[in-house]
Amino acid sequence: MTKALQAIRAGSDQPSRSAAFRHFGILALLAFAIALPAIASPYTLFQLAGVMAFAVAALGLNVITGYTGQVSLAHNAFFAVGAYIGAMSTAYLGAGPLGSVVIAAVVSFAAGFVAGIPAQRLRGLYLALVTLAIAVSVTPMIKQFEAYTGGVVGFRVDQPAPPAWLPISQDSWIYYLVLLFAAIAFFMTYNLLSGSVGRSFVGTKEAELAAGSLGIDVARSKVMAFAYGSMLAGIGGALANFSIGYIAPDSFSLMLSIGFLAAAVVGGINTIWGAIIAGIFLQYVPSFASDISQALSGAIYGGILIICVIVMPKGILGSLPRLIANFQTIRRESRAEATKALNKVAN
Amino acid sequence: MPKELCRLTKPMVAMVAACGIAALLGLQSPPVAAAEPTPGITENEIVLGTSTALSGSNAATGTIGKAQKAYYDFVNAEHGGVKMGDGKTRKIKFVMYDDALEPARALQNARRLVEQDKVFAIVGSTGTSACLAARDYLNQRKVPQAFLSTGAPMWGSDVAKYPWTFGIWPAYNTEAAIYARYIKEQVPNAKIALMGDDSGGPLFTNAFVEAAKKEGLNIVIKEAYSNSDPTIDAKIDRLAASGADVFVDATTTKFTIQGLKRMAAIKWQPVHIIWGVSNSIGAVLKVAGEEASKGVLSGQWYKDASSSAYANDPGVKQFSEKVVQYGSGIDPHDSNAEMGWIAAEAVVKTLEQMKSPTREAFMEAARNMKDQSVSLLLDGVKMTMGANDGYLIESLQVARFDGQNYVPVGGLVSYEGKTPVSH
Repeated sequence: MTKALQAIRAGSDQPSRSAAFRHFGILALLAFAIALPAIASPYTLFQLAGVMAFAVAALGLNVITGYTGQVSLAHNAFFAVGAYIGAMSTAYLGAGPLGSVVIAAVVSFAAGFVAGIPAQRLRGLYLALVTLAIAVSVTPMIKQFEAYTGGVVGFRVDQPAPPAWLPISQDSWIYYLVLLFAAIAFFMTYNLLSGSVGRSFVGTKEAELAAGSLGIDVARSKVMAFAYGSMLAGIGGALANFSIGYIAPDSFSLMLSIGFLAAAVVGGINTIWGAIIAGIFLQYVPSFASDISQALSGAIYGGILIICVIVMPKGILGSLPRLIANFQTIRRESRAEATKALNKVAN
Repeated sequence: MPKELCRLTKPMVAMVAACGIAALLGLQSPPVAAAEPTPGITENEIVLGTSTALSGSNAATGTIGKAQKAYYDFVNAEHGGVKMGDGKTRKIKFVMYDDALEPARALQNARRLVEQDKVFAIVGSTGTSACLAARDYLNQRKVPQAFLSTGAPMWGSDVAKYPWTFGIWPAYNTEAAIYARYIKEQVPNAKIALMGDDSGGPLFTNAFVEAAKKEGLNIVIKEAYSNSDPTIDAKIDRLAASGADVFVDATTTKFTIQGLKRMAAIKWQPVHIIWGVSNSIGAVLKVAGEEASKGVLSGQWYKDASSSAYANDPGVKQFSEKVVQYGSGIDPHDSNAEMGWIAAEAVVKTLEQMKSPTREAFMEAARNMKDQSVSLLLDGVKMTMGANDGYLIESLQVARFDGQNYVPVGGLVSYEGKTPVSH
């Protein structure tokens, strides 16, 4: 209750030093990301394009689950909707990269809106079950509409090629495109969540009744969060097409949803920027686990997850402020002790 | 925006812009093809890679990769490597990555193998959609994607567009055509029931429907199930109720066993043809029980190590002994282990015939294979490709399971160079 009120009252954002630092950090990250193709290998750029596509989708889950408190296992489905709609709009409508992402975003927003309707009334386990049903039905659905989706064999998507006047490789071009869309998605979400919409989301999560009594349309918040989060998943799916260039139902199993949820928790599900860590986790940890031991990759993946959750229950980014605060306290205390000791010596 | 932020942001925006300009100026231009030596091959070593499922629900497939590694380790240890067509003997270094049969990870692995590990070729990878995901990339890069362990028809039919890709298994369309011909000859006026799973199955069932049409056969019922279904009993009942007297069964192993048991329980005894994916004696037929699986028909192209008929076969003996010695924890009765061994032996055979240490020479040697054999292939089954023939193995021996072993029915059926193109 108090938390909810705090969240709602927090409207009068004080421009603080930490906010300035955050902006500095974000811009520095962006500058680094823009400069990267000059030094990174094509393979690294390909991997980072994957990281960003996953990060955008994970951001959607942070909005749905982290901010609004709705458990969604259907993230694979919306990722798939985005990927297929993006691919089909390129293949059948001749849409370019921008067009394919926009169409994918609109369709996955609509799909998320429809799927979000039951979320108005269902909570916790029941909502999880409904989204589970969506998650497991996506693969059969793709196979069912074989004429359009290519069925089990999937289909090839033309990857965006750099314009002739730009002397960069295709990997760099794809990387920049994905970076552009990811930056827009993060900027949009940041603005959305730091305003009244974000506060109504958090209020809905922390205390529905209280939020309702303060005039927040709780049902609308839930559906909008679901639709918006699903749209981000769809954008992520469409962005993944850029670097992969091929889609098949095997890419969108229930395991992908579980992966999203795990990665979002590791990154910090109550944060915006934790989604970037989630993207890194989704892209790198499976192959990293398999590199350590091919026989035990599943166990190592699980182990990394458990350690992250135990050591940093709020996720890597969510726990960072506390870790820094702890560090500062320790420093302050040790300084105080040192001063005390010095005083003693002086006396 | 608060003043303090503005002060901080302006220089930062300038910095971002500067970085962008720097990046654009310093960007690498598109890679230029120089006359560099072929990657992954030196005077005494050749590096090969594969991508397969070592984790996830398809992890059993990974045995195909592990058995390949066992074979290369065996060749390195006991023959000092492979004596290639240019007269030099090279050891084989084999790099294997896990893709859990997910297409995106398969492409990532392909890129890692080519760009970081600098492999000479990618061989024996598994999973149709996983291999499809990597196909465009590997063909653009002109890296062989060879001896794929999947039966998908497109490996052999898209040669003009994807000259660097080919498979090793008899394609599903070859297999389907052979069964259709067999039914036409052996069961006049057959009423056929057809069932397949919804992942690899459609590639086979679609090909079978086409082949049946060509032979003028009558398919009275067609069913599909999903791998997430708990049971297919009800579907088997429906097939039985249709009055079909031939059952063409393209189910995957777990469901094949279920189906065999259900058929025995309801005493439905059609002519039962099981596709090659699920015809293992050790992993399927013996598990379902001798009574339930007696009389089952299937197309054979390799010697089943579980069969006592090959207990004294030198190839099978060597395989059973060495795969255990060099591959830790591999069960020689696992048909996936045989698949890997066959693929690896075929790779070595190709290396032996390469005239020069280049990827082009590798593909040339493979594409020009004529009547080659490896130790685990059935007698008479040969590997042949040609200018208009993208399929490596195109013959099958239809055989009946007598409760212990497969007994050949009729002679070897060869579609060499005649595999019908499947749509």
